[in-house]
Amino acid sequence: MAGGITDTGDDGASPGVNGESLFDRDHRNRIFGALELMSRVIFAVIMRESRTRYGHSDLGYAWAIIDPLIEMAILLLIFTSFGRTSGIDASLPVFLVTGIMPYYFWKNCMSRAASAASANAALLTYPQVKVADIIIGRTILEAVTSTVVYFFFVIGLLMVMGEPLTSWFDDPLQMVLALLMTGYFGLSSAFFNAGLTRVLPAWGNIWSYLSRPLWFLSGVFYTLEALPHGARGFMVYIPMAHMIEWLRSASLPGFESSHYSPVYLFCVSTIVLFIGLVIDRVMTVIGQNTYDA
Amino acid sequence: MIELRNIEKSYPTKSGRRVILDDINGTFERGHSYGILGLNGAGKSTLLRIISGAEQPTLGDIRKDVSISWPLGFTGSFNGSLSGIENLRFVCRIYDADIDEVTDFVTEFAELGAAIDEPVRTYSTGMRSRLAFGLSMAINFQVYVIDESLAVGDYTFQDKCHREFEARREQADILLTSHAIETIKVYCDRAGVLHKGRFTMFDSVDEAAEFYERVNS
Repeated sequence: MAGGITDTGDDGASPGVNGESLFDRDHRNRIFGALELMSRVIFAVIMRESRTRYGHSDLGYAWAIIDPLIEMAILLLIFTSFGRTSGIDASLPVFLVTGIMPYYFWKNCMSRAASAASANAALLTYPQVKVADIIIGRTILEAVTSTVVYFFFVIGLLMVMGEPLTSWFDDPLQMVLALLMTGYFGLSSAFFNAGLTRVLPAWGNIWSYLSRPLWFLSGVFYTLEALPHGARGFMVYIPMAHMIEWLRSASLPGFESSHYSPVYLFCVSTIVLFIGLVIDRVMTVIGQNTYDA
Repeated sequence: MIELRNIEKSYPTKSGRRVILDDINGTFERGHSYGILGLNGAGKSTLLRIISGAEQPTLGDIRKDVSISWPLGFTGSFNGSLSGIENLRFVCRIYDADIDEVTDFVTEFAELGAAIDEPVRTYSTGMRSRLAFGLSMAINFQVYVIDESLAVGDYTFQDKCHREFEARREQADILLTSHAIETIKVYCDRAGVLHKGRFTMFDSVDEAAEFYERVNS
């Protein structure tokens, strides 16, 4: 791989005379070099964050798994005591996990990935570390953690309740697409939130109020189909609901929703990402390079 | 070589924009160690952060074809809950340095002993600085950037730092800021003066010292 990159550089270098060709090669190598550097920094951030966020003890990181596990247990208890079922052709635990896990991922991107940027502002002293690297690294860590927790549930429910593995997998292509989009949405949200926190110090408080009802408005506990018409008309604007409906349609064999739009989710993600990046750029240029200003 | 062209740095404050650096020009050639003289608050640290790449200038260009260290002894990036080794690994990863080699060097150089595996929050200020200093020496930069002083740890450690610098004078240059002429004279053969946001470069430390004393008297 590395050899290939060098060759490309040399090809670009051969036609010109010394000075220019060197620049050409420099220029090409710079793009690969920048990508290589960025992935190195992101990897370093992931390794560092996995240590600091969850602490040193094994239980520290286990909290990332225990936390949604407890939440699930409580919800399951409540729903079953009300005699509730999933309302679709899927068992209640499978239905809840496929709603809670993507929501958790998204919520953690919004809160933790964004705050990681301000918590690690001192790292920006190293010129190769950019705000974006910290946010991307943190989002990847959240994605990995969520995936681990998800498989924890899949295996756990198989062992405890005999939930067959086939209840989790429907259309592989759609699943891959929906998961990629979920990751993109999470990353965009992290950039958006980190940006807003930077320009609006009060945003943190506003967000903590907003995020509570969102938990109920994102379709974690029910499908959009099950809602009365008026409520559904409102909820189709909430991108998280699209994310969850899509993921469920892709992974649950007995469920197909017609109320989500991948295009809408993509557009919202792209817009919030754009806002986040613009804020980052503007703040860097006007001199508030760090977060303490 | 490091070349600064029309560098301006200003920050928004409650009473409007405050200009820290105003149209800074200067060339720092390889093979020379430079001092930047200035009173406290003259913008030395800001200029140093811009040169090392930690901060972007508001306006202007900076060109460099050398590897430049972070400000020496910088401990702010250490995470207190991580051990010395873990903090060190992060820096190795972003600089693509060999973790084992750097670990060996720093353990020996910083004289931390078994403490290197302890969380950095348990370190004394001196231990932190020694770790930071050892780390910057473990990675081979062409220009070492020093903010204010080399005063790290006790005299024996300072002595060690001096010797380490002397040993690499052939390959590495120093860029040192200080408000004290004496400090600059020890390490540098050229110097510039930062005064009221403007920067003037001189071919010798003596000329710079003379100018520095004149504008600040």
